[in-house]
Amino acid sequence: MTEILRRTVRERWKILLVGFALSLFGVFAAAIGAGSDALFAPTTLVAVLLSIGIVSRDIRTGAVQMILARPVRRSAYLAGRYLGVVALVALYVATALLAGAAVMPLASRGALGSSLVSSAAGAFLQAGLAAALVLFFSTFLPGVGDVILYVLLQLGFDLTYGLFRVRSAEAAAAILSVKSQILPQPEWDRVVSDGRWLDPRVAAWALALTAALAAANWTFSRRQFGYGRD
Amino acid sequence: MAATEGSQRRFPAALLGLLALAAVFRVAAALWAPPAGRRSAMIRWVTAGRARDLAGRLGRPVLYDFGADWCVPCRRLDEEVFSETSAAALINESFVPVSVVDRMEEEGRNSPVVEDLQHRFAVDGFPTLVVVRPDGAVAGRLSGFPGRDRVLEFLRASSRGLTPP
Repeated sequence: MTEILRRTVRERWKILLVGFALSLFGVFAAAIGAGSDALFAPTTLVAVLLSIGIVSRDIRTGAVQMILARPVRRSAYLAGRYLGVVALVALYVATALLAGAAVMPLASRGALGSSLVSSAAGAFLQAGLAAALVLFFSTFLPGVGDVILYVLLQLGFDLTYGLFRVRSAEAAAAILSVKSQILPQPEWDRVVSDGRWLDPRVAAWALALTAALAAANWTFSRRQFGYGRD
Repeated sequence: MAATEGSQRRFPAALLGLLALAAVFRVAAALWAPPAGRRSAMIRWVTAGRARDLAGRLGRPVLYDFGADWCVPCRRLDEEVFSETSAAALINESFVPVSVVDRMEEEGRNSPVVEDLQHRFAVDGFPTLVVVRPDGAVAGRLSGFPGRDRVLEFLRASSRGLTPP
């Protein structure tokens, strides 16, 4: 698993550069006094970019067949892939945190300090769910299908909610309720800073995360692999 | 070879355990999570249904606090005013306090009681404090969070039956 983790970090660290470029806007916003939310806004996007084709690329190139020719469990391969992405996201969040702390106006640094840390923790946890979902999609979709499905899922909920909001409040509420189970978004700022972990949305997040990882394992363990095409 | 293939595909027991734990956590959070809303524990909030009756019996105005979980100024109101001992005492002794929490953002709808109160008092932003005398007349209204001192001034004036400027 450690080897797969290292391999993931080695293969994908360059994508972090895109993330750092995106985070410059957030750092600039923090420097002129905007809240800490702007600083970590790109974190989920960075996690999704890091996860593109995380498994399907190995299947396409035949790398997965080579890896699994050794006594490596499929679950260990997936864990290595996932933890590799999580490690890179952690590096991204830590860098954004340090950059934010460095440029934040001195006068507001004390007041915003705790919110900066809780925003960082929240952004990291939310990105962890996005990475788990894309990992799951990558176990059965080729190419960039994993990210396309993730984006469609997000857009699908938002568009149908917007459509039904004016026509049927009941249907809109049902859509929102399903979305809150599949793509839960706890108020991490409040959860972390107030220690309110016993929150239904945090529990929904934990269940969605473990369910996505379990589904990825279940799907991946049943796949048959042909030879790579590259 | 078949045994190797089988063990390679085995579902990780640890993940199964984590999934079970997450499911238990989900049920526990649904059952025992603190009620939604940002209600300070120092204030003796009553339900909207009981408020009118209680206001009539005690001869005190009802203080409706309209807010939402996601609303940052509402949290400041809660932290800087409702959680302060002297302000909480003033509210508990002079008003019948009712917390009205909007759930539109989270659940896509509000309960009929919340809808009715928001409509009746034309609430279009959070936080909004509305003071209603026992006879049903609106005695005061404060929109937004203009700071601790202004809110206290509003509460004191409303408790004396005066409408602050």
